[in-house]
Amino acid sequence: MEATTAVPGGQSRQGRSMDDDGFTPVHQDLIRHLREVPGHARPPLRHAAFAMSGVEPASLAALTEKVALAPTTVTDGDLGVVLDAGFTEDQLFELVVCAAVGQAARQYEAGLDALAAAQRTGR
Amino acid sequence: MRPGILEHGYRLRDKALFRMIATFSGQPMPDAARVTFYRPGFYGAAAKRLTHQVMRGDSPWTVGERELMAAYVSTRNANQFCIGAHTATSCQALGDPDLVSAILDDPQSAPIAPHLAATLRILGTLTARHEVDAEQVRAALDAGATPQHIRDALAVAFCFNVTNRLAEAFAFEQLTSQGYADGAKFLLRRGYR
Repeated sequence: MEATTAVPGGQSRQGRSMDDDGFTPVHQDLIRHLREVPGHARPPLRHAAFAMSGVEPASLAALTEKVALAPTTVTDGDLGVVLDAGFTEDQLFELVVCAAVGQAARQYEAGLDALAAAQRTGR
Repeated sequence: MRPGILEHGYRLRDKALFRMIATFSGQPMPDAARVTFYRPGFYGAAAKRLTHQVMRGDSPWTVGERELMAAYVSTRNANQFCIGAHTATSCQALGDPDLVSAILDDPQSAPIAPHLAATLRILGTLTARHEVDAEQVRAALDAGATPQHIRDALAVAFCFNVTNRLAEAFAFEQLTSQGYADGAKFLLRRGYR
């Protein structure tokens, strides 16, 4: 399969860019890596899996949502239906990683937002 | 592990490394480590750099406290692989398994510093609800945590909110108690690189 240049990441909660709000360089390194490194899944799909928005087809949307929000419920069958829909195992690997990192990034960002708000109220 | 490429799709030199480690340690290479060898240019190399810096780099938290946070986040995510790995590591680092058990059960009633208890409460809320309010963070600051304490704890949570999800999606195989103990020794000696 032809390698592509991916662009997951991008806009996050409340439409803000992940680059704008205090990720340390080492976090930026991981997220930039997922954006820029050549891969097997199409860049828009990696972006969608990271952002948990606009993922198609439905079987892939269901899997990435489970990875993000209910990971203990992921089954062999969830992966199997995505493979049956024509995705390769390498694409599946990339899209699961993007979904996991995307959700963790949103949680991290929510924590930083709460810290900033707490510091404002403490002044 | 699933899918099959994560079980069999490694470079020959990596397969040889896995066999060598299994031979010398008597334990299989943990899946959390193996997965970072699969196409490392996509995820594994960057993830190892991140995790090592967060868990072993400069921080007002000790290594043991950060391992405890990893175990606590994993507990809230109910991820058995990382609970086993980081409970063992925090027990070895802190030298008090009973205390670690008490903290993981209920940080608020455990005999620990107030700023650590309040910070664990933030991580627990964030992990379970995907958000946390400013009042909980303010309580941690009032209990003695600095903004750097909070940022570093959030970074630990980031790392393990990723790894817990990959462990479930890719079905990391659980280790024996001895396997987790041996892995903990390795993590404390060598870190995550």
